[in-house]
Amino acid sequence: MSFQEIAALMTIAVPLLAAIAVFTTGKGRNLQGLIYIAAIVISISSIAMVFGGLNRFTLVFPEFSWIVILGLEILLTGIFLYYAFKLKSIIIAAAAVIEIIFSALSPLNTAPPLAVDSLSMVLILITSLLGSVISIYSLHYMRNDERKREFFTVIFVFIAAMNGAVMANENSWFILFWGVTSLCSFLLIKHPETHEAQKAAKLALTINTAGGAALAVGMYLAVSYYNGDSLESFSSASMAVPAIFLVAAAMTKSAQFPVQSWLPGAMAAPVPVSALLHSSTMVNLGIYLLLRISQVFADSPALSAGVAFIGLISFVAAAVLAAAQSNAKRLLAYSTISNLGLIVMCAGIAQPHALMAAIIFLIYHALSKALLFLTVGSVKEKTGSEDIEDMRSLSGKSSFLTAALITGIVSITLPPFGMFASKWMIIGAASANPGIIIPLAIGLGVTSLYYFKWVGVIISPTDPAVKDKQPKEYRFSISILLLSIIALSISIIPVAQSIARAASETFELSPDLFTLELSGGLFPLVIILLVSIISFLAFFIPPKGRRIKGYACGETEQYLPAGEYYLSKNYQTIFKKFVYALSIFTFILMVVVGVL
Amino acid sequence: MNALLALIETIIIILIGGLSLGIARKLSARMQRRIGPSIFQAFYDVSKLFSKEPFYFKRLPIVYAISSMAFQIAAIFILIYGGDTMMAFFVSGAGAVYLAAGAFASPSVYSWIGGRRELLAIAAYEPVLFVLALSVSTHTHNIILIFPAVFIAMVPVLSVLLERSPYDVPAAHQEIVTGPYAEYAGPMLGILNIAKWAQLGFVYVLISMLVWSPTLAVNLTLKIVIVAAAVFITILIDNATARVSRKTMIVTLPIITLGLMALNIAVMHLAGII
Repeated sequence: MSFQEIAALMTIAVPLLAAIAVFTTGKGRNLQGLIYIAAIVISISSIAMVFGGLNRFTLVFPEFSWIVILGLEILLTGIFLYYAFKLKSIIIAAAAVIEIIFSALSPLNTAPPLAVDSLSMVLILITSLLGSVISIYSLHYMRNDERKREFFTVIFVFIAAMNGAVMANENSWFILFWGVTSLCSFLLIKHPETHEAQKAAKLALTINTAGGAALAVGMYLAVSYYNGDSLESFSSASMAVPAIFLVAAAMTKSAQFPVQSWLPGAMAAPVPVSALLHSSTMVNLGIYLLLRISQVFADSPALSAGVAFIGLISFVAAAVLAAAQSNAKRLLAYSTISNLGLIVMCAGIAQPHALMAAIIFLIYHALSKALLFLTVGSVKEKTGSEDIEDMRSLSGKSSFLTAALITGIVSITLPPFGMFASKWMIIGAASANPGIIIPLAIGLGVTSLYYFKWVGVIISPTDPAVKDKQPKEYRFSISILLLSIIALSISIIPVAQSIARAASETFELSPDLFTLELSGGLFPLVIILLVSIISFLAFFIPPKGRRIKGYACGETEQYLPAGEYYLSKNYQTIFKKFVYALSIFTFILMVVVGVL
Repeated sequence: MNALLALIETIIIILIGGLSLGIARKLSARMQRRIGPSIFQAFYDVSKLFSKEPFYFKRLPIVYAISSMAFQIAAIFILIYGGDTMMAFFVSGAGAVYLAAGAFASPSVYSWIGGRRELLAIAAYEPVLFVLALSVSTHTHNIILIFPAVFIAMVPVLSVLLERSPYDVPAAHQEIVTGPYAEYAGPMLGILNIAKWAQLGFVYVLISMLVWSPTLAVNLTLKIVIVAAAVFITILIDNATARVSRKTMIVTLPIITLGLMALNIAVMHLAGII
């Protein structure tokens, strides 16, 4: 075994070992040391794997490994059935049974069980690094929790399953890891044991096991009728029928309309769980699956248009809904659905630039969402509320948290940060389908509206400024994210180049298709960076002139403007119903046209 | 050398943006049978603003004002230098957003409300600019013949940017004085004014890219005529209409403009031209 293969295996094995160790240790200090060590080892092994080179490699296991996998799948089904019985849900039970039947029926095949290429590496890096930061953050956040051992056990299993899923090549392995992530997300959402959390967890499990069943059926069809023994075999329009099942499964994981409802519901869980679900695990898996099978879309116009429009609908609709939210976590949940919609759209378009856009968006979105969620968690500890209106004048209270929130928001909306992503996406979209352009434009407008409305609340000043103590406990995890976003943004040119190379290797297309599309050369980019640096430095130059106080046209009474949220609850419900109808119609249309 | 030339052109375009404000005021005045200010009024205003005493409340609004100007100027430069249109569009959009952010960071309710309305206006007009930028970057030559709707859609956008009815919502003079600019004074207001000129200049360049001719003189004339036509129609509408509410703006502006453009794209797509 080469060094790289060992590192790849370690990204699965270390979190699993950590989970076992956490579960068996006692309370107290042990836990802290253990989690720090686990986080560091996971991070190092994921980075070591990438330093081994971006070339694809496979991992082969002894012949009998299929028995182990089957055994684990049966165990997983047993757990699903147990919870189905406990929650009195027939859908979960039915989905679990369908999943096990179809994955047991699938004939044995000879594809290597694990394969790692550059796309997998990107996802393993996201999962391992962000997962580690989030688990360190949780150490303090969950300090008063009675059952924190279980909590951390599930988190590490989650990271292991996620890494496993993006490495899995052979069908049954992929189905198993996919199922484990569903289970872990259910356990984490359920963790607070409140009524709301129970309800949200049940919804999440229902939707995700249904997705798992769709995945198993799709894989079974692929193996039995279309000679597809692994994810790699999904490469042409002849695989359209199984691909549709896989698309449905991906929609459940990545929370696309009409099956998005579990993600906003999951905000009942503690902040680290949201951060984990939204940035480093879970939702990325659906995107990963779509990117993996994107060559089917490239070959089949019906599927391509269908997936692109489902993503587009989710992008615009969730952005409009996000503009109507006054709860920061709920806003972030809708913004995740919205951003994922954009990535799904790119995967659906499946044109080289769109694929590059999808990957770069995946990276920036994961980082920025992790940062935003963790910061909202710290703000909540500080002010006792996660409502946007209660964050008014946060800039006067904590400049650190304000900087973190603004960086998180700016990094995916404004240049020089998310710009490449948007640019490539638009090139892809424009060449694929002119019908996409105008909804895309509206969505981008609404996105900047809801994000900067929030920024506006945060930076509105108080007079005189209230100085609070800065939070120390979370400084480490938030600073790491902050610094990595800034570092990635400054090094945008090499990052973009390596993503282009990774994309051309993953999708096995000529590197000439994956150009950076810079008509004026690098100079305009340098100008953008320069301007950004100037505006950043402007903050440190002391302003000239006399300092004055605020003036309200002689009004003595202090009053604060209330936020504007455009859509009332009623309108939101009506709007959602409309979007459900639209997205279901699009999906059915895609199935009908795609199969015919 | 290239960069120097682009820089000089950028400065000229910013000045044209400032000049257009004066021309718009003069035109509007003549339509109302007033004499109106000099067409160089915008320059007089700004030079006077820079001679005023600087004072400030906090650093943040100043940072945002400077960023706004820097990004708007960079947008024109990138466009002229031959970097991409889409990239320039994003940079200009960032400049617009920083203006709203500066208003939010200022210590007054009026400026806060102004900032919020500015943001709403941005959400309404940026999509239109986006489609314009995209059509300019994906097609060449006389784009106006393929996308006439894009030109028509620019009129409502210009009425937002020139602060003219019916869409002068952020700077609604009767209620909140000058909207996002409420808390700026002296040199900082001057800087924001230059940012505004640059933004207008950027939009004019985009509009002028709709027409093209191989001969330099004809090309220049065509470009000036199309920009002048857009400004003239905007002023004409300004004098014929009253300001709408912001709800009406957020509904009507995108529907009229994007609806027209969607129709345009659909017809051209069906006709097989694009």
